[in-house]
Amino acid sequence: MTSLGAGPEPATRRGRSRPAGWLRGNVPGAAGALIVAGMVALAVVGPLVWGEAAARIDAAAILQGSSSEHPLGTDNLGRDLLARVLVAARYSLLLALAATLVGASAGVVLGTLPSVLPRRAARLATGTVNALVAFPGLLLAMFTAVVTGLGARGAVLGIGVAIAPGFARLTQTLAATVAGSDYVAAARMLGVSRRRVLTRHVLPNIAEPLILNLTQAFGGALLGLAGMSFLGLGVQPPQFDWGRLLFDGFPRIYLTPEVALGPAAAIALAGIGFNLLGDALARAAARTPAVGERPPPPPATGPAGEPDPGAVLEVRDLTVSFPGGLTPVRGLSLTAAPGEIVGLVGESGSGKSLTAAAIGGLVPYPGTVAYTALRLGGRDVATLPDRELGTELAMVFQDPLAALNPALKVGGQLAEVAVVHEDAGRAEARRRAVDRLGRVHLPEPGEVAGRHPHELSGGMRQRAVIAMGLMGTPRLIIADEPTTALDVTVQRQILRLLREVADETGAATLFISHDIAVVGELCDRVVVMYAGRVVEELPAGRLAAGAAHPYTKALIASLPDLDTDRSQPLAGIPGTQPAPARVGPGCAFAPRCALATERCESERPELAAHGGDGRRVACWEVK
Amino acid sequence: MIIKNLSVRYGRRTAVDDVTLEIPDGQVVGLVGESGSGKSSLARAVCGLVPHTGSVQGARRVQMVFQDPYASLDPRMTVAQTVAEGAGAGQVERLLGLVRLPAELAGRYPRELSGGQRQRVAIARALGGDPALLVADEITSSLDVSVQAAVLNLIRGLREELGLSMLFISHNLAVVRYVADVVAVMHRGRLVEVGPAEQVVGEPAHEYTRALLAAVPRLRG
Ligand code: SF4
Repeated sequence: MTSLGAGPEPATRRGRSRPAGWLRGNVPGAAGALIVAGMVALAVVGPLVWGEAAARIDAAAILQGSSSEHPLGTDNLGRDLLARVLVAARYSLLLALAATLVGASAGVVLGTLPSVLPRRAARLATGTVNALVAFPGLLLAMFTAVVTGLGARGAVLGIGVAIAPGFARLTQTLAATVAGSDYVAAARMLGVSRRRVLTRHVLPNIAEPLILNLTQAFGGALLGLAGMSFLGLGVQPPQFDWGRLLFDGFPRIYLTPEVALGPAAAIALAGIGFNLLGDALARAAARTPAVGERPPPPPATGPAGEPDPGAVLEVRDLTVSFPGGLTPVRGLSLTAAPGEIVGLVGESGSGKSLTAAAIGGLVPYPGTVAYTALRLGGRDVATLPDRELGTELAMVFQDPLAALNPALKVGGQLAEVAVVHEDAGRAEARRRAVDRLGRVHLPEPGEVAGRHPHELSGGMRQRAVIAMGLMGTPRLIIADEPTTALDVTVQRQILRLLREVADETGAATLFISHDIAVVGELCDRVVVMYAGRVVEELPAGRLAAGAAHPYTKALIASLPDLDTDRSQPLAGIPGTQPAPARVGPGCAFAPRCALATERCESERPELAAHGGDGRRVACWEVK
Repeated sequence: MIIKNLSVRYGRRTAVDDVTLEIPDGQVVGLVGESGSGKSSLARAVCGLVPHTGSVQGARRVQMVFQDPYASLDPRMTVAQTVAEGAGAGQVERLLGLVRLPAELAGRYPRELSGGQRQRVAIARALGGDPALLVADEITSSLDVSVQAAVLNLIRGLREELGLSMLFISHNLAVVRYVADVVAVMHRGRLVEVGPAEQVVGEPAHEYTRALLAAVPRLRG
């Protein structure tokens, strides 16, 4: 069995990030959650359990160091310091909570002001926030605390004021993003008032990130308050929080360090816990929820058999699956001969791009790729060394900027390919880069080589990426929607270039597109995908008149062209393509097919030869 | 309705350069052009979403449908809340009916809908504003072909049913030709050709229009 575990190996090779469940395998996040839970529990039960011990004055045990009776020593009234640290959790956390709430509310109000005020006042509010953000937080806190009076209230207000600008800035940025969205534009056109836009659209959409930020702000407030108490600006006796305990113990740190280290450790632990948790929550919210299950074992594959001598690319029974039983590509087979351009066409959700990714070894974690055969030039790709794959396989994507490093000059990036994969000398590599840029018809290739990607137009960038593929000796070019982001006139040029490259280099091309007209125009052969499977394969020239599968036919009929009868409605296809998890046992197209019978619902038609010239179709109703 | 001498400038760049275009009552005017031609800026100017010079006359109540239905619906509002934004809650069922969406969808959130369904919701929301002019900016370009067909049919149906005037913007000449009565071709901020759809496609007068037509991919055979 040949199985390309598309887990860490290809993922790291291409530098893809790896999604994970928010706490699964997330040690810092789990640790943070554990610490926070412990702290909250301590805050609830601490004073109940150790309250008495913390208040018990013992004249016989004044200012002691660590002993079996008092592990952290005692204070100047002989009270047990361990008990006091445990009891102080409640007050410390409550103060931090109050400070966070003060800061967050002030910040959110300040941050939303620009969205409701008239233009000039809004600018003033923005300016104020910017000035406050630039002001050192601790100074702001101390100033406020001194003005409002020493003690817990002053410290809470002070820390609140110090937190507020950050929240205001965050609110402002988030609100500005939402305010610039299309749905707010639509609401404004419908005459919805600014106030209502704020309460209905802006606030609900910024609430989540703000709440996440609260957790981290809480950690900060805790540390800040401890700092204030430590400076003597915060909690005053007889009340005590961790900062106060630290303040009291600090003068004795050289004689009995444990009396200061106890409260210090508590502060540090709580601060770290809340920050870790906040960080993990924010990360989890930033990514789409990942499926936690392990991928199912890849389906058993048969013997690989002998390589097809006439094929550059040979794919047999390719399956791509994801955890949770999702199989977006199912048993796909295709071949491509030298110089041949094979079009892989399908709508979103058909699995066409994942097919391309699987062939290129780019399936993102946690996907699994299995196949009976996946051969490039007759050799299994899994056994091909990276450097050979690097020169024999060229990939072109929809967004050329993804393939080009924005910081490097185009010529240098191309030359790099030859240096890395073929140990070419710098000068030779550079000469070849300019030559290849000329081969893709970039005007003045020498000059283009000296430019950065952002200085080129979209069409020129795509040419540069193709030129990069030509640096080696490609046997296969995988082009995934390479012209989708381009204008039609530029698209036409790139299509011509791809054809020219195929003719000149003899490389096979796998051209993936949602646009059946583009595929029909460029390709030699067309493979139509639906719900992860090939449903039809035919010569491109026969698309217009010779398509047999009901889906292919409907797809062609849906497409308006320049001769479509304007008096008739377009054909269209009712319903939508089923998601990978929803594909039933029968023909996946059955729910949308006008010809479907009972058999179609329960039994899946295999891809079978149909007529001559290599046509294959998977449909019960095609005879 | 007529757009008169409209220009849009972003700093020193002129996106729309002195465009004059009439949108006859009850007709669909198709606006084609490539990226950077200024067609979207023109659309936003007509809707009052970007500052411009020149005037838009006779267009009270303009509503717009946007390109990306994933970004144009508030993810935290149900279909009913979205559609009711302009029209009020009493109209939701009628509006959903107009865009051929079942009333059961009223309680769903955008993430539970397909791309085509979302675009219908966006159209229903715009219709709720009782527009004299509907501006549709690339509304099918992010949809699958089979879904695009249904949305195009809907647009034509709405025009028949409601006598809606429309500015229909697309980079796809075949799509524009199919829905529009009049086709206007925009290039580098200017209109280079305006005429009845069949005429612009059949006997293009401007060189740029001919280049665009030649580039439209077609099936062989
Ligand atoms: S097998 Fe049945 S349902 Fe599937 S395409 Fe053919 S006729 Fe339609």
